[in-house]
Amino acid sequence: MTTILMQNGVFGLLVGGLYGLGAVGLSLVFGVLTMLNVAHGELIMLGGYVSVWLFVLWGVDPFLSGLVAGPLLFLVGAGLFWMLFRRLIAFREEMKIKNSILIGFGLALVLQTLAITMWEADERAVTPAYAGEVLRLGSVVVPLSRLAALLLAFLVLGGLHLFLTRTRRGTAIRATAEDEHGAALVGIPIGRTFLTAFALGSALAGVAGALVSVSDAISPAIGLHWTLKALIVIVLGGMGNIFGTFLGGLFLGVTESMSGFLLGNAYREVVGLAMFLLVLSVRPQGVFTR
Amino acid sequence: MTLVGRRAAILLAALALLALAALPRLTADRRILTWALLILLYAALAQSWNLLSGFGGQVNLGHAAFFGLGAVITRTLWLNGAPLGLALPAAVGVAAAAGFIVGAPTLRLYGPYFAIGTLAVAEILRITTGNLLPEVSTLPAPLLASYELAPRYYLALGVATLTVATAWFLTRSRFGYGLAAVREDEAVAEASGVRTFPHKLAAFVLSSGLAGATGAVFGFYHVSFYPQFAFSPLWTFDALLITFLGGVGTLWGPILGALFFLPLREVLALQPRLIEVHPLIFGIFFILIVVALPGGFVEAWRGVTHRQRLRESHPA
Amino acid sequence: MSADPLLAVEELSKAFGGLRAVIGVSFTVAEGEILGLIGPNGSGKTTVLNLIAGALRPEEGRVLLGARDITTLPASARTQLGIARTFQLVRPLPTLSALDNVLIARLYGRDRPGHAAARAESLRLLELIGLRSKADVPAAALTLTERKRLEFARALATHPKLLLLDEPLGGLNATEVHSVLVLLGRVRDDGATLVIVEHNVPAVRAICERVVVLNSGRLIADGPPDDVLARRGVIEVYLGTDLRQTWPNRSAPPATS
Repeated sequence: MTTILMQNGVFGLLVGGLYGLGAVGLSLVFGVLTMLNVAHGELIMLGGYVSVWLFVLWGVDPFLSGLVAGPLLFLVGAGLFWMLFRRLIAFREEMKIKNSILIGFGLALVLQTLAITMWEADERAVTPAYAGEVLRLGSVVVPLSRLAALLLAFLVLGGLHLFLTRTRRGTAIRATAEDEHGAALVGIPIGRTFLTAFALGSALAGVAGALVSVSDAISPAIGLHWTLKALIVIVLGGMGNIFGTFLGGLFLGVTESMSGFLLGNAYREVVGLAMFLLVLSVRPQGVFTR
Repeated sequence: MTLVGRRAAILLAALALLALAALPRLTADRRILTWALLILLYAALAQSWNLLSGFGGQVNLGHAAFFGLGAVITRTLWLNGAPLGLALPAAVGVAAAAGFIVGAPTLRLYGPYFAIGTLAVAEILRITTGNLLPEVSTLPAPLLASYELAPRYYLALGVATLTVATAWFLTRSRFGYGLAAVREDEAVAEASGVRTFPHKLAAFVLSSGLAGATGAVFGFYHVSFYPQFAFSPLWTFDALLITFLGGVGTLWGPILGALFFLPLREVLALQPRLIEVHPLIFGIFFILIVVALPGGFVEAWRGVTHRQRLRESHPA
Repeated sequence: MSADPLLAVEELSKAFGGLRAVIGVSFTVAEGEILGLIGPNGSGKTTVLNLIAGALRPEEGRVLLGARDITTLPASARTQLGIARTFQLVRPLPTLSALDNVLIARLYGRDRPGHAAARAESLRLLELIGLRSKADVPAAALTLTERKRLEFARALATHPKLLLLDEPLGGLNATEVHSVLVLLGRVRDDGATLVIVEHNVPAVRAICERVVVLNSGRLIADGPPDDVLARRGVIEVYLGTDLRQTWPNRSAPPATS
């Protein structure tokens, strides 16, 4: 019995790390721009497809695809911001968030349909040679590729943390998130900062998507699924807080895993969504924020 | 807040209603009747969304949940022997009750949180329905044999009229004025004496009940469908798109939007290469409207007539 | 005339995170009085107004309307009881017409009228403030001065017993200030009690019978304006403590007049 619990727990942590990474980009965008891009899951999906095609066409290892997916989605994000989200900057807060949700809603549909049109609606998997390898810790089986994905997610987040705290651009982003007007007053180029933050958030989604492809099938439909996961995680972990977001992701992963075990696979998603609603009504600022 | 003069509007509405009521007598062409039914269905779906999210300003991304409840409850009761006269009100009742249960906690949330909260609710219902009723629901042989389009058409007409009447009520009643104040600025509404929460909740119950009625039409009309399909976010999206196209927060918006949307969708569906692409085109349309013309057709019309009036009052 | 003051606030305290905006403030307002609420920026004046109006809840203290404790009542309920307020940064209902802005307040204020009566009265109110010709114009399209007047009409439309005004004279020139003061006087003569947050000291002196001074969240003076404004403590709050720096060639600060 304990073995099954521990197995589920480990699994939950492995999945949760990806949830965390998937959510960080959304959290960054919300913290800096006060916009909720609900097409974020579609960006993750696109990152996944980058990995799929690199593997199918040239046999590129999915772990390396992140190096391509990240920059590619950075550009996509920059383009989307320039065309669409940029126009919302002047709105007052509530309208800004609402309209970004609406634009995101439409964008999600557009991106999903584009994916279906270009690549068919079927699921695709990336299966490198080492796909089945496992690590055995006592009686618990740990899939090696998932573990590697989790470690890579850690690295990426660590890199993000360094970027945000040790570089000028990163500090500008943090300052803008804290106080938009104050940042502008001290000479920080707000427009460029917004663009960078949005593009960076999209890049993080791209990398997350590439890591997702290591263990999960990719199809156009996963977008909404991942958007919801990201929303749940940032509500759990508090918006704009990297560490909290990651913890939130782990928490969601483990909770889902456990409830999948207790209630059956069919309802594991529902538990996450229900928890989301609960936290939203009781403690909207997040469970893990101080 | 008027598109055309008031008397002209009432006359137009009465004429339209008469014409629509007479349609099954005037034509035996199933296709025309089906078209009209679908336009009425989508107009009703959009108008019901418009009540809370347009007039009330509370963007609801889980509208499909109530549409789905209406569809599935009607279908289930009807296929299990209940007469439609029982199944329909039951479905509407359940949808409205669900609106109350969902609205009571979520409407206290900050606007954008409400939006994503309702999205989560709809997903929960979709997944649960998919688990409980995974199989396609098809009409059994006797019901298929006795299937007639006209009663379904009249039901759609009735529900559509009801949604429009409710929206009209909102433009003229004290409650509607209070709701408009809540939409514009909650703090000011409160300061003016409007109790914001009861207004929002009442609008939510109206909106979800009517969405349930629209779902009931769907459940009664379709020969076969997957129950979880009725909870698909695409229904919410269509409601949003149609309302925004025509003019969110206006009486005519959902009607004009539906009149534009459905023929266009049919035209696109007829092109074999574009058949899968129409969500993309509509998605782009929607984004353009949100970004460039948040008022939809109605605002464009007002812009034209306003410029005309300006030209008339400032000649040369 | 009842023995209770119309409004009483007792030991009101409100903090925003670590910032204590209002600390133990107590004062009363008699029926028919015009009270001025003054103090330097950031002293908590608007917060006190918000606490009376119901937009905020205090951590400690009570708000009493007559004999009734209204501390936990929402703002809409307080409007029903006769409290109306204006906002410092005008907030009209932007896409609604000027008439609709007033009409909503009339429909939801005290003494629920029928729709036709409400409409008629709203038009009269617009006439009173000089916006009758702009009745159908969306509020967002009005000029700032017009919006300020609209805000005022909206507050009046609820038939208030107690009118809370947050810097009604901000941004107005001398003529406009004068007409507002005349209007306020008439409103009081019609039976309302006024509490006015203001920076314009001469105006406060002209119209307020009593003045309450706040500084850093605390009440530091309460009395007739001539008396209060001459107190050293009050002057220091506005001008600083080393008065010799301000008036280096005088042995005492000038009489405030």
